[in-house]
Amino acid sequence: MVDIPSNEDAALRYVLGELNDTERREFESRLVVSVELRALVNELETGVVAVATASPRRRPPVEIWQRIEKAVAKEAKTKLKVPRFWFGWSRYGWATAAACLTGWLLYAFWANQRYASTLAQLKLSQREIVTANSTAPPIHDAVKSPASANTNIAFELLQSRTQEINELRGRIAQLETKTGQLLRSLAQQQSLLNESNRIKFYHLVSDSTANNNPNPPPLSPGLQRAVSTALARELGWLPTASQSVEQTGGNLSATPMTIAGVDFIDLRTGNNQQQVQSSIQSQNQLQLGQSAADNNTAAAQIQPQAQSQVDSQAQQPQSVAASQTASTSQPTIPAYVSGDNLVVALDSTVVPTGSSVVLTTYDANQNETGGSFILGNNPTVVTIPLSADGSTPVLTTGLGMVITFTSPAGQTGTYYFSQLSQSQTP
Amino acid sequence: MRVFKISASKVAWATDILAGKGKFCVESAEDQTTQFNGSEESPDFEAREEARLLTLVAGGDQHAFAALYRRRSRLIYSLLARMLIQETEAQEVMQDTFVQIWRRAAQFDSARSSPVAWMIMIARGLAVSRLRARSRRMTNHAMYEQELVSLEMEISGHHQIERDDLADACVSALNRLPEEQGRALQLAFFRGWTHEEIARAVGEPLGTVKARIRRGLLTLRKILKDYHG
Repeated sequence: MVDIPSNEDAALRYVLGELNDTERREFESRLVVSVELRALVNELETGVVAVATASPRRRPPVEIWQRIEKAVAKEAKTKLKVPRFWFGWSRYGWATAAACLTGWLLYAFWANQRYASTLAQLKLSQREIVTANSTAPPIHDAVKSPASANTNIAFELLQSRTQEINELRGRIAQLETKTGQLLRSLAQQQSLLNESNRIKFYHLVSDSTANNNPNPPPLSPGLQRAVSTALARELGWLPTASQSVEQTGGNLSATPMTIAGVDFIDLRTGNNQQQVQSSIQSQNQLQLGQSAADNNTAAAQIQPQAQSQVDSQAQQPQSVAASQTASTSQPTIPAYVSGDNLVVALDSTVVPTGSSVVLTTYDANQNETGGSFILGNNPTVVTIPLSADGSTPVLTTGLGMVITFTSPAGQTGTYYFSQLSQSQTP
Repeated sequence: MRVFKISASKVAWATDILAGKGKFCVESAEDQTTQFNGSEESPDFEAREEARLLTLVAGGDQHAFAALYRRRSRLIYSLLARMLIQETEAQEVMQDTFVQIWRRAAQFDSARSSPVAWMIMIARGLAVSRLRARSRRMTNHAMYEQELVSLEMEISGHHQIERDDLADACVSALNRLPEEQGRALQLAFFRGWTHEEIARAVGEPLGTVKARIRRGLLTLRKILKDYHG
């Protein structure tokens, strides 16, 4: 396959009008600063002109110009006609700025001189009035002073007010510009976040940690390595064959595939409904404090009452969070959303090695997805579909994910992730 | 050595300005067949002159706008007629194009593109929007073949009102391109097919299609540069 470098590709798409608004704005901002890019675009544009020139020559009917003339004449009334002199100046930014600065300095010097002389005049006239009539208040006298002094005072007041108003206008204009820039930037960021083909990164902090500790613990090196490896796999730099889902004793559990010292668990494989059932059953058992050894045999004997307990638990995660039986330290988990899937990384800093882990996600409609697996010695990357029907993105609904584990020593724990912590970086 | 001639349109335009006529006088210029012929001037002179006109248009100068129309209306109309086929639609887009040029003249930056390329991009953008709005396109191989046939019919079916050496040179250069290269370029440029749509229709990798279109554009650029010496 022949491919062309990205700059050239973007330039080609730009001249052929294939970039969307966001891409085009971004490209044009690069175009302003990159001579190389401008040269690329210029080359292709000349080609565009040549292709356009290759059309058989046709003369436009006269009526078209009449219509254009009419349309333009309407707008011409409102279009400000800029004198040619100023238009020429506006093309040389530095010269214009320098001229403006010089003009402003001259004005400031002149205004200052006038102000000084006016003040001197004012003081002189006040002194004269005080000398002539020492019993009357000086301000009163100043008001009644000769017409020239009154005019000067009024002029000074007017000038200072005008200056203040101009300064305020300048500040308002600056603030408006800044607000406009921020709004544009915000709109751009939002549009980027809405693009489904982007990978969005999350720094998940369990609810209790997020509430109690503004500075969540840093990610362990194992977790960082796991996410990097997962991304490499996502980008096709590593094998992507999915592992099998085994059915053992009526319960579904995923068998990990190990790549570069990282275990990959894919909970998308198999029947989602079964997986949900499996996760609920396992979660139920864990919450009821049964041992991990009993899990497989007891799974098929879940009673409807127990099921309803889990449902209500799912709807009220905070209350259950308070009843968690054990927890070493509240974890921080790296995650990213790629397409319709959520990818999270776990290791022994999150749950003890050898633990049976049930991972469940919820969407706004309380649809559940997930499954169970055993955490091995390696950091583990788990891929879960975002929702049962793939329609509602879980992490934007305010609900989220529950991780329940039982360690080989019988220790159990539950972590709730009902809100995003930190910023999400597209 | 190249001798630069002052085109008759420029004389007509200057006369209009000096006479201070309220109307733009495009019609009279057309009647006298004094329209601008791009090949008479060097590309640099042409670009400078048109950039100057656009600057004036940005300031609301209607005479400059009329002069710009005289210089480029035929090229742009020819392109639109080829792209849209339907005469009425080409006329509507022609009007929209020049109204856009009037409105957006202040945005033109001669450091970023040449005036003619800038105007062609506006015209082509509007035409592509029309083409895409016409119907939801099926980008399969049959449609690909159908579009190619229509492109060839247009070329052979139309007779030029006036001979234009530059247009002839560009047409012959376009026809001399390797078949797949010329087809991809024409579909992308005249029919507004995206690279992905072409790749899907011909069943070839996207990169190959992009490279073909790019090579085609660069070949034609060379022809244009050689023509201007």
